[in-house]
Amino acid sequence: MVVDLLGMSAASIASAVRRKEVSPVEVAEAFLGRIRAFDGRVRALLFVDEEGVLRRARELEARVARGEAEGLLLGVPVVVKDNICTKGIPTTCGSRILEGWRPPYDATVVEMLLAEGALIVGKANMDEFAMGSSTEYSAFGPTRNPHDLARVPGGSSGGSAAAVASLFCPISLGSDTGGSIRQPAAFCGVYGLKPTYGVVSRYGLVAFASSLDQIGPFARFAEDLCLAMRAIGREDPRDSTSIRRGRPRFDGLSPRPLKGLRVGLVREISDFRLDEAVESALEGAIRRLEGEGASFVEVSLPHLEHALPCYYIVAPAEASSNLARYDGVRYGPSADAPSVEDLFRTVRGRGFGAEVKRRIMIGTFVLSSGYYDAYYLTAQKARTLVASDFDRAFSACDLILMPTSPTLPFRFGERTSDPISMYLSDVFTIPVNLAGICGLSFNAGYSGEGLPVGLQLIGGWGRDDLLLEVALSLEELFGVPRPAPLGGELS
Amino acid sequence: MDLEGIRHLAELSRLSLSEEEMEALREHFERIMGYFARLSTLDLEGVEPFYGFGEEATPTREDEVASWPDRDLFLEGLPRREGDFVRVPRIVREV
Repeated sequence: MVVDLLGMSAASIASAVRRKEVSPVEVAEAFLGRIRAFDGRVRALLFVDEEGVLRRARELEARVARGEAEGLLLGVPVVVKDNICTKGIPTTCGSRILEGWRPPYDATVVEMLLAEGALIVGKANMDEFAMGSSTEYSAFGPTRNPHDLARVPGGSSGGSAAAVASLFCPISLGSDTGGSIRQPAAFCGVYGLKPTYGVVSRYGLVAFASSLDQIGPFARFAEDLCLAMRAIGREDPRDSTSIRRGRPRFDGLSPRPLKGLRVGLVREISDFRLDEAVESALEGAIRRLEGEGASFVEVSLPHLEHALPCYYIVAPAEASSNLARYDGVRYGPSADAPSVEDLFRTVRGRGFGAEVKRRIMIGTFVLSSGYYDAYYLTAQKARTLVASDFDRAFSACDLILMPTSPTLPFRFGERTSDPISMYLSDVFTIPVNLAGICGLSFNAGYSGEGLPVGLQLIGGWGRDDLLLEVALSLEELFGVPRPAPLGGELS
Repeated sequence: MDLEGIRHLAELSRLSLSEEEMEALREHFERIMGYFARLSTLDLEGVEPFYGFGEEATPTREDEVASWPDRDLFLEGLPRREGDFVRVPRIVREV
């Protein structure tokens, strides 16, 4: 029984718990055992709340026995990224500056998960303040790709993606500012959804770039991605950017027939160099979808190449402002300093890592007097162009298919010496955040050496439901992604 | 961007940086600004800057005062405090 639990979908676990075929304590122990056995190698988690999970599992068990337990995620273990606030549980954002900090409240998404009966198992590793594409910028050491421990899991939500691929939990949450859910989902061979801006509450998500940040789920089964969105894709009065009118609905989603679906292929993709495995996965997917009756149209995103420089002005600008609060007064370790200014400088100089400092400096620069128009204002206009490209494209197609990232998971250290080569990993995901629309990464197969290859589906504003319904059909076509080959596999 | 420029930005950013860090940042700024230059080829005549996503989807609500339920837990998270006060280095000085 225990071995089977690990490979089950969240939906099956929740219904087995509801029918009393398995107890929440058994579920918790199975996944905690898996984490104990393998996280020493993968290092997906910064904190495992063993005591809290077992206590909550026992409470749930008592409620199930009394017939009082309800919830979409009854007894389902969930891991959340370490920039999502969990009351009384360490939340570091992968940064020394928040080491030891325990939030006084739960993020709205955490409240929603708990209300649906989920077990919050632990907190996932990430690049510091979500700035990075490999988890190599975590102050607590990188997470390894469970499909090949010598390679990165992607980032910044690398821990969340690796946790699902390693069967530490069937569902995890990450955040995506420029690709931080979709790129690690591709690298670890699982599903990852970046919802439309405003579909999921950001209350309790530690802010990086507020106009781009969005929380979303990872899962190995498409139905679990739908389940997670049913739980967290709800309006929140505590987030002023939470969509109140025209929200996508997540109940009653069913596989969408691919016949008649108009899929856009982006002409400008040919301007970028793709790994051979990525290119052939894209071609293979086109053939398979065509076989199912989908039709393909060429669409143009003329400002695709401008999205990356635009993003690296807008996101650091917002970050330089958002990270001003880590000052040794409100947050952070304290220090002895003769003045407040010295306290700020010292605490921030010691507490932030190199990439975070780099982005704060860039953000300060592009917003500083004399440079604002040339950089920030120009980037904000370019952002309008990137968004209108998508508007035009979606007048000719229902969704867009393109690679999630141009390459396969890379090796540790390969890109840390040249920050721009790291940034290029997100060249196909960033435009989606700039436009505020939704994107989903799914596993489209494996390279010759067994590395997962992900492809991205992009939907228009609020078409998250369409992406999920198509994902349900794609799973019938491509199969459920393999768990990572860590040993002790499922029978 | 020269080292003086980097020093000035570090001051504005309230970051104490070592000489090595500043040198590394100077090199990075050179590369990233070259990259930003790609935007200068765009024709932005008449293009409105981005100001946020559709307000029709996110109408404002009534602003209601609510009390914070866990005052003590919040205070516990502060770096330095004295009772219910946040402790900082001296700000006001005699002249």
